[in-house]
Amino acid sequence: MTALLVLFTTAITFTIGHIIVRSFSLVVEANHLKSQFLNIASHQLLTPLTALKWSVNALDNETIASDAGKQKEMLGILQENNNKMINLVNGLLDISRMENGKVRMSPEKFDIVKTVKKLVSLKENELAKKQNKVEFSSEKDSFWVMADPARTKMAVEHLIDNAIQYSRQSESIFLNIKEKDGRVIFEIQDKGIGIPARERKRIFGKFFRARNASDVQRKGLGLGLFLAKFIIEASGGEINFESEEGVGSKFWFSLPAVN
Amino acid sequence: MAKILFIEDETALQRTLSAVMEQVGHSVTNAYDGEKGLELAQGTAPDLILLDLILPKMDGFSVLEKLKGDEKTKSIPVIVLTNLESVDDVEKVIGLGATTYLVKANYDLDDIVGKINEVLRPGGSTSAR
Repeated sequence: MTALLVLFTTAITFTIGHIIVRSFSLVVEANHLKSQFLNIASHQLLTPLTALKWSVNALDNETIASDAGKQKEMLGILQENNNKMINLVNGLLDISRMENGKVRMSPEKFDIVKTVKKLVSLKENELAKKQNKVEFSSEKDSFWVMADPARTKMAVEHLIDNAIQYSRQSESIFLNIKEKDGRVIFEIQDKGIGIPARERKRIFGKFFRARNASDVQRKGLGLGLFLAKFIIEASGGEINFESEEGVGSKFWFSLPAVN
Repeated sequence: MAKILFIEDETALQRTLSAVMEQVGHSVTNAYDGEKGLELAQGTAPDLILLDLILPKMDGFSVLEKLKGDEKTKSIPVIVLTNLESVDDVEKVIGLGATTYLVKANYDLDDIVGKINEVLRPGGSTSAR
């Protein structure tokens, strides 16, 4: 009886000990993830901040400042990197607001064709890196939707950035906007690395990055698609994709059309 | 005038630094990933290499290791230009043979040009920042 009691007590003690050790490990792991996240997020901010600093330095150079072409180029870099920082900080704030259930969408009527065209024009330099180009088509010159314009722009930008980053050299990226059953549909298709089959279910997950994505582009928080899905669904839309590893991916979303 | 190879995946940083470097008389070739950077270093024999560490396809540590392990490229001075700032990273790249290590965000372009010219001067070298 005593031996049984000792065995029972030992088992309980071992279980409690195991739970404490496991809990402690989880806390350590959570802290490690937090620290890793802060590290990546800070680094993501440092890059556009350095670009701002260097473009201002370049504009401060009299020869460069007096060359209208160079001046325009440096101002373009300022604008592009200022946008990158705003998007990154807004994205991080949205994640925090989502966790607290406090994201406030501000829907209004806007022309998504105009938004997409403007974004594509800002991606000229990124596209030039691997000689990619965008082939844009739209059934109409304007498609009006009801959604939060700033956040929709962010969602579209994440999709365009992914297509550029993961496209193969010299391949085109196809953008199309059309209307079907009272919904405006935006499609973006790349000929790139694609998403491995076993990772597709997790692709919209927070902080998730596919294995082959990290091989091609080491920078990245794994938040773009998570945010895009949240934004589109919170606007009454749907988002989905199809993909084949090594061939490419096609993402699309729909938003309520308005006249 | 010197031939400089800048291995950096951020176009904005390439274009700003290249604009200032070209203005002071150097010619700059850009590479957007580690593999391309290594290929250009082996094929074009630059006078100096500016190397970022976080790069697509092959990271800067591997590029540096291969450059210093190749007879053709081992004597080319390499300035590591990164925003990574940990002591481990600095020690690692200096151990691998980098001439110096600069944290991008901490330097104005003029200072970077100054460091480059310092390394390019005959017998010129400098230590980690």
